[in-house]
Amino acid sequence: MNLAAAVIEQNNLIIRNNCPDVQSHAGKDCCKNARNWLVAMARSFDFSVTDGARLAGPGWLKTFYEWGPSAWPVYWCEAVSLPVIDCGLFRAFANLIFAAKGIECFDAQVLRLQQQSATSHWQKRWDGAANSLPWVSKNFVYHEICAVKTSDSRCELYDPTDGVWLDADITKGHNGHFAVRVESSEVLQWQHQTLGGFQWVSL
Amino acid sequence: MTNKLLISGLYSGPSPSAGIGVARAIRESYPNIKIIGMDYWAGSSGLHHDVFDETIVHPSWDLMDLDTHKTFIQTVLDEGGYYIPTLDLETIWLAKNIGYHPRLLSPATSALRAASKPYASVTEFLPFGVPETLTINCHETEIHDFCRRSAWRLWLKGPYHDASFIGNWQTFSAQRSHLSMKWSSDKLFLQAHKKGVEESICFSAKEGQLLDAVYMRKRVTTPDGKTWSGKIEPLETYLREHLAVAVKNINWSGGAEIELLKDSDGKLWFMEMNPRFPAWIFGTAIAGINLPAMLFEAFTGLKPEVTSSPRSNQFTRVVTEIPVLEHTPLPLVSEPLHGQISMSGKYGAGMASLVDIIDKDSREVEHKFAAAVSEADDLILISDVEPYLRDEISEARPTPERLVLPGMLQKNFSAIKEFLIENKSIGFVAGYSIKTNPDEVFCKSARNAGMLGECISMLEVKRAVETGWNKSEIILNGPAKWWPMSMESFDGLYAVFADSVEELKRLIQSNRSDQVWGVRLKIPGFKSRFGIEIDTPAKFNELCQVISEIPSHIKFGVHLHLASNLIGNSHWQDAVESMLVWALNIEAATSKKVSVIDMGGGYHPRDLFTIPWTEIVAFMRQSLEHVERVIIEPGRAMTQDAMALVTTIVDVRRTGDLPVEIVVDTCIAELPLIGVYPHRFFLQKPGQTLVKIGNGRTKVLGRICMEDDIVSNGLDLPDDIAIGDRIIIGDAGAYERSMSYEFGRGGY
Repeated sequence: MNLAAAVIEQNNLIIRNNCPDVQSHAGKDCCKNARNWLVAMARSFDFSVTDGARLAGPGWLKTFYEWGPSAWPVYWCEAVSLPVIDCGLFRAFANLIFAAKGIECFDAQVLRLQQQSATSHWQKRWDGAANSLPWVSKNFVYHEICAVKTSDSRCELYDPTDGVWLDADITKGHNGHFAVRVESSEVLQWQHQTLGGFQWVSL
Repeated sequence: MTNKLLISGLYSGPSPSAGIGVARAIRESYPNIKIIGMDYWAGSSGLHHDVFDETIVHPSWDLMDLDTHKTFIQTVLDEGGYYIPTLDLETIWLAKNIGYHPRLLSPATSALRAASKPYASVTEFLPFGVPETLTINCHETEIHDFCRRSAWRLWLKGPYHDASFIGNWQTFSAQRSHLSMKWSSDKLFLQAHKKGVEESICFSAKEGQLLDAVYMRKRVTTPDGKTWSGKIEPLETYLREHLAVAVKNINWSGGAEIELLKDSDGKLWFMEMNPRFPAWIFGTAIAGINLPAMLFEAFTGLKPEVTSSPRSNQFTRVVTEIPVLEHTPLPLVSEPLHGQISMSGKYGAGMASLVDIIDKDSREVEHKFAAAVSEADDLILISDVEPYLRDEISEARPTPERLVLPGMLQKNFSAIKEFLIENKSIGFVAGYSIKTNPDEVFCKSARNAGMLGECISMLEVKRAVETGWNKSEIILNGPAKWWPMSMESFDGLYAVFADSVEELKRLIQSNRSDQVWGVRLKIPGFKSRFGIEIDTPAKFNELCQVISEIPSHIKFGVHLHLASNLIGNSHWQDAVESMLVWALNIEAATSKKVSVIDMGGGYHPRDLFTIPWTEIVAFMRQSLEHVERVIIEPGRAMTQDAMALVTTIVDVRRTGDLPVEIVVDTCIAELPLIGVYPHRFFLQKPGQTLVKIGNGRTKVLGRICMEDDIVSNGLDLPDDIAIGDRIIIGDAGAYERSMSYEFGRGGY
């Protein structure tokens, strides 16, 4: 058991083995139409002809959706209409958008250090939420993000909940990245860290 | 006087100078050196900082005797003192007035020239993109072209400081006046905005040798974008190598900061190079790469008494109160001027006055405006207007008079006719926007060119029918297209585009017999009051549900209308691509196939045929397989430059012999958009040929008693300009014609 896994176990964080998929109703178009709507929204906010940049993240998501508890499992046709979504839905939405732009991307998870002064609030907010996941412990939180491939062997980590690209140097203190897991069989270089292989990598 | 160091720039307000940071960094490595802080305003709070052994306040630059100051600096240096200036304009003045001195730790004039705005030649050695830039002492038509090309996302920058964001022509005109006055200079330039995060490189160098450098990523900024917190990293090898070559080639001495923007793809864009250390420079000492101390060591040969040890590669600022030193009392507060609502904390060193001193050699050149050069369209205008001016009766014809320019009319409608014939096979159709000019000559020209009629009211449909269009050749758009409600509506039109879901529902219930019904979409992310909102799943689903109810014999269309003239061509293309994605989604969610795409109007006359229409249609057809017709609705592009307005000068006001203001007999009633886009001006003196006029210093005032009735902020008129001379104002068609109104004529 590596350090990250030990922390997960010791802190009773019931985290997901893999980032879950948002589900689709079988035999209906509702979920396909919902995904199409999200991709069209992203194209409208992308301004790629004007900005000339391919890898721009969907920063509009954080202005459009409020962060908070989501009930899982969830269907696409429900998810896009929710006013409040958790990091798992932010991650799923952003990766759908990156993929629609032809950018290879992977689901990813990060274990973050947090102070109790923050986690106590989140614990309380999530306490009454039905079917949400216990992602908060006293000093650690579990968070879902996107690993965006920038070249053959390199990636950057995008946090669509905050609309920021992560910095591999931030490994300590409030919001420090303790460990990262990218759901890719490829080995990917993230700044000076090596990730991939579906393994938790302690930073 | 050895081991004595002077440092200038002690302002420590919201946009601080670097003096305190430089002093603290050097103090850290040289605790025993005598550091004298120097500034030009008693309000600079750094004068009271305990890092300085002594402080000196000189008069502000607009009040000082420059020879006395030069002698002071020269004496300090000659007596063995060192000097690190941290103010841009002061650094330039020192280079010009002191020149090279082994104890002046700042760049020489040649190096400063290589780093100066707007076209810093140092970028030749650096691996950065440079945003497209235009100095604005050119014709306004060229400036407007540049603004549209830059999607109306630009910065108007001053010669040394200041930048204002420009999003439209009115802002440009206002900021140009403001910055020209503030800096007493026309050396302003426009730079295309780049979207990205702010980063910078800071370095120390001595006589072309790079001592060291750091890379800084801003993490928190002030509302003005000034660094508040940042992360410092060593420079990547490839950047260091390029920087070393650049420093060597321009023979840089002193500190400097290269401001960069990093776009989403990681490309670095050069913004500007500051000829001094940045205000956050103490951050380099915190990171253990003490650039000011390295500079001081290189120039003095003194080894640091204390070695800087890295504490963190990140820094931040705090605001703290310190005691005011007795020998430098705070400045007194001026009694507020009428209308002044707050005290100003701005740096009061009179730096702007230095621009006059620094630029006095080039000032003569600066104030010469670009000569007015006639382009092909100008020659057509001249040829169209001259018969009117030659007409003996014209002397007696009252002005202002708006003229149709037959040559331009012929040129524009021939071009669209040819374009439509060439692109017929890909389904291209053009609709003439009646509202841009409902005059019969324009409507008939449009119809003869093969254009449909595009209307926004029943009255316009009536006008279109009167001027020869069949009802089946009419497109009906707009939020109140059935107005006036008292009029029987025309049925059997070619296309009707609904502006709301409610209107679409009414159409479906109407039993009308139009060929195409469609929807105008309000594209998310674009500002518009028009069209149907689709920015929530609920709204989009409701729209799709209603579209599904359109009878099968009626074809379906999707309409976008955002003026490329106002948002720029690239931004407009973003909107078109977005609209196509939405159209595809509508097809996927409904039983209707998109048969018609309408891309609206609002194209600038100079852009209409430069838009890559063929590529856009090809892109469209990749996904929308059932599109039969692609409509564009040019009106402005057909008519704006096909009319001119003749006006007569009724007053000339002079300062000495020079005409500073003229009054003409036209006004904003005839030219309601005179301040919204640039117009071409031509002068006709009696018996002489028509000549184009460029920008200049003579203000042109309109005839009515309205403060905003200003026809031009500056034309280059001859000194012998006289009452009775005529000015012909081009580009006076389109909305200048159709939105003109009666005012100041003694009735309605």
